[in-house]
Amino acid sequence: MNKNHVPVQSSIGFKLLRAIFGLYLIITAIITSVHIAVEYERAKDEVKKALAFNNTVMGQTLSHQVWHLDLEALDHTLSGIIQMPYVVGVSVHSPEGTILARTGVVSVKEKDNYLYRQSNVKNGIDEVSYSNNLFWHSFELVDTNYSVSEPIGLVYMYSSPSVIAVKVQNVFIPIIGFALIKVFALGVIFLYFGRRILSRPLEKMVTFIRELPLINKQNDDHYSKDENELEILETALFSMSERLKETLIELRKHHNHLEDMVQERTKELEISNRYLEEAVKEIETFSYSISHDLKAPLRAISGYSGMLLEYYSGSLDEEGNRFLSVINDNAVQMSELIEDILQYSRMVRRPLEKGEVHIKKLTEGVILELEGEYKDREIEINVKEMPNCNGDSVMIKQVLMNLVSNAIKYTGNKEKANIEVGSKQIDKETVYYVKDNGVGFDLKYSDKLFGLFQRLHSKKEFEGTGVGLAIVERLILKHDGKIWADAKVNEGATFYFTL
Amino acid sequence: MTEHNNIEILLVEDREEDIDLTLKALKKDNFASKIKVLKDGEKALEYIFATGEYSGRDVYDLPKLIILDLKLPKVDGLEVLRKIKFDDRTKLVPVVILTSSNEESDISESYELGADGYIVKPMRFDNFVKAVADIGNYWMLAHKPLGCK
Repeated sequence: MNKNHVPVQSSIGFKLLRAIFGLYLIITAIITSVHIAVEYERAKDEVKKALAFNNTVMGQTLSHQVWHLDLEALDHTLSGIIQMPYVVGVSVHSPEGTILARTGVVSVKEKDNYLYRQSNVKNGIDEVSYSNNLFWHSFELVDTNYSVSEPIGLVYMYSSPSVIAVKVQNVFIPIIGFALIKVFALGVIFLYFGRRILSRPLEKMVTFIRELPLINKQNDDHYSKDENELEILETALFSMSERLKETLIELRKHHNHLEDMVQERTKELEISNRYLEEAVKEIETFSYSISHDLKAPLRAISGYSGMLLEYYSGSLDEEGNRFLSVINDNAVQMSELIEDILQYSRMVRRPLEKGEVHIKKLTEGVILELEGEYKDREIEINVKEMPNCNGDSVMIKQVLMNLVSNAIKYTGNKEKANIEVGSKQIDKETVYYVKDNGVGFDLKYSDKLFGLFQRLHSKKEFEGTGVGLAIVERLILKHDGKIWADAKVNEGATFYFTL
Repeated sequence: MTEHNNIEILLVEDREEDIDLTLKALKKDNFASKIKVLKDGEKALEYIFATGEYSGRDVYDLPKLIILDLKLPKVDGLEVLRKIKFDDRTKLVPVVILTSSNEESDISESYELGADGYIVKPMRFDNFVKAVADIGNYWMLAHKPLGCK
């Protein structure tokens, strides 16, 4: 049997219909009974009236016969009267109480008895039974001539319920019949419509409820047999609300837990941040003081060797002078290295500040700043139209500065230097480039190009510490960009980068 | 000891070697005959404002040029600069910062306090000499000071 069906007897639809039907039955029964009783009384009344009618019809005849004490004629009259409808018995009594004549079923008052005996003389046999259900109509016989004022006799005309029953039968049967039909019809209607309007929707609802996931599955197998649909609904809703409450509590617990975790993480992050900030500050002060404290003695070395060269070169021979030069050069070189390291670390430490960058303008600015480097040379720098990009303008400026100054530097050996700065689209990406026609480099060593202090040319050929490109690469990487180069020895180099 | 002589250049520098170099450079082109050297910020302030050790001085006996290093013991170069430039009596004296620091912060701070020049000490002696010569040339010879005595 389908677990989801409520047994018919428990169904609320059934109970409802049953109640209505039952009430209807009772009411119909009561009304029908009342109707029947009323009909009965009416019939009884009619009979009595009929009996009374006989009074007027037969009264005179009977009084005449009694007066004359014509018992035979009386009997005949009585046998005639008894033929009348509704009459089951007639008896004529003298004023003293003796029975003068009787026919049919009459009731005889027994001496000292309240019972009325029914007596029916049939074929000379007196059938006696005790019953109280006879009723009669009695009237007095009076002298026809009105010579005597007192009654001369008493006539009792009897009728019995069975007579009435017969009479009423014709009415009863249709009444009861109709009542039954009505009840039956209602039953059919209830059956049909009840099913359509109540049972089926209720069934669907029960099925739906029982298959809801929110109901506590543990109570699944214990569907109470007596539960009607509304009780099922109530249980389901209760169960759902319980589950919801539980879920809410859990959610709140989770939420609190998450909040705690978030707070913890935030605290941890704050601590980390503080450490980082302190570390950065330390590096800054460290490098600041390093630069100052390292450069001072270098300045002394360079300065004094310089002064020797200036004022005492005469006292030294060529070799001695050369020694001094070497000392001087190396001191200077070291100071440049220090400066470059400082700059590199400064650049790398700086946090990225993104904004719109006008590369063309930036390039033009850089070229102006570097004017001093190429004052005396034949040099042509071509800045093409380039789209703006998103990045840190200070860093991008440094990138351009390094690349352009490199281009200027490494074209130093050419009569006419050609430098071009522009951009092109490769695979939907904007690629910027700095191109020169200088000394170039061997592609074989391209992976050393961006290394810190890595140089592909000697100091004698081109000055520099090898930190420029390292800085450029770091800055480009900070923008999640790419940088690479292409070159041919003595024909020039092109540096490409994306942002 | 009271000094009545008009000091032409006041050099405030703590490192002996740097003093040596600077004096040599100044004397090379003979920019000044009277150069006073002080080795820390405190003495510099005392001298300029005629207090403490130099109370006997006349405050208005101002040098024509002050060459000031930033990294000084006792009182820092920037503090000396601030005091000079904020005092009505002394603020007109040209002060040129001659320091090894190339830091943005030092440069901007110096100019904000009213420095009249900022030179980073070059490494090579010849460059150093040139830089000092440029300073001397301009402030001692070429430029017209306000209200010369």
